[in-house]
Amino acid sequence: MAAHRILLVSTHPLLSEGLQRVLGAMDDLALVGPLALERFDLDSLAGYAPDVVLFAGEDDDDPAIGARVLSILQHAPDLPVIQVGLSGHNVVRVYTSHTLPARSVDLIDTIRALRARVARGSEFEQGAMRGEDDAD
Amino acid sequence: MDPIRVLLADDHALFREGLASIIAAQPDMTIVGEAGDGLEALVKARELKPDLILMDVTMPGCDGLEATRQIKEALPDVVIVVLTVHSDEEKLFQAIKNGAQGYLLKSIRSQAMLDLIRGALRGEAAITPVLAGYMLEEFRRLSHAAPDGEAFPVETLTFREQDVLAQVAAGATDKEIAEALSISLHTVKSHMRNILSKLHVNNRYDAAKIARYKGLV
Repeated sequence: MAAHRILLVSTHPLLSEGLQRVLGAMDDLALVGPLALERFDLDSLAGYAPDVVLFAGEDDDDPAIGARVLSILQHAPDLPVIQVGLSGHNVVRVYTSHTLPARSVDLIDTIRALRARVARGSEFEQGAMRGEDDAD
Repeated sequence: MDPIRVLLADDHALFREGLASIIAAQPDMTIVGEAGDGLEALVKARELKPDLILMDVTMPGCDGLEATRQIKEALPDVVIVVLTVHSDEEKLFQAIKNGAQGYLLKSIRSQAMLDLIRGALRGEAAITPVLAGYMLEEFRRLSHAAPDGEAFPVETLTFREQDVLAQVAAGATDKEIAEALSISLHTVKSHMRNILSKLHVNNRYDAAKIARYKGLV
């Protein structure tokens, strides 16, 4: 089975090195890069051909990372992006985007395929109880 | 020689795992345990008796500063180095007062971190130059404080209290101070209580006079 190619883009050396060691130990994952954030652009995607892009930085809301995530979602909509930060919630954020044919039936089917939040109200509360909102 | 036995305390699981991998790769170090909050760090420190603890500051429940104080009380020989994202001097000074042998920012590179924690075990201070500068400034500030009990010991105020006092002297209300310094009203009132106590005055107007006299505004 082909290994998942992960392009690591980082602004945080210690977090980046830790991720490289943790992910690098997995047989089914192949790290490419890593790249410093300022060296990343859309051409990097063609060069490294990743299956997923992983951003690692201190600030969960770093606008420089946010801008690059947005540009990937716009230009490579089927490429998943994951963001890890240290400043806020003890979670990773996963971003995905998909293009659709511009027909109402596709839009409606897609909406129906999404889970309804109203029905999951109690799950949100349970999520909060599990500490998913704990800040670092 | 026996490897250095390290305990990691950090609530960010992914960061902690990465850090454990970095330390475990060192020939002279071994990870003996990991903790996700201050209380767990205290329990595991007592149980495992590590040589060194790398301690985060902001953790749920018991934070790293309080955990440091309690661990040093129970195990005076253990070396604790704080590893945090917080660069403010108040946390740095509190950590040192509580017994930490070092205070490092997570933005540090791994080799520098490893060199500094090895130094901490030799009794050196594991502090990066920028934070060492804060400490020198604090030392200088305290050294310049009037030794003979000067009437208006503004120098005994913390930097934050001096900021608040400067705002008071400029005529700002507590609410305006809170907005200007991006702190809560409760925090402003707490600073004001400390300022009045340290300056030995009973109201903000007298405190403002002292601030003007001392050239804070």
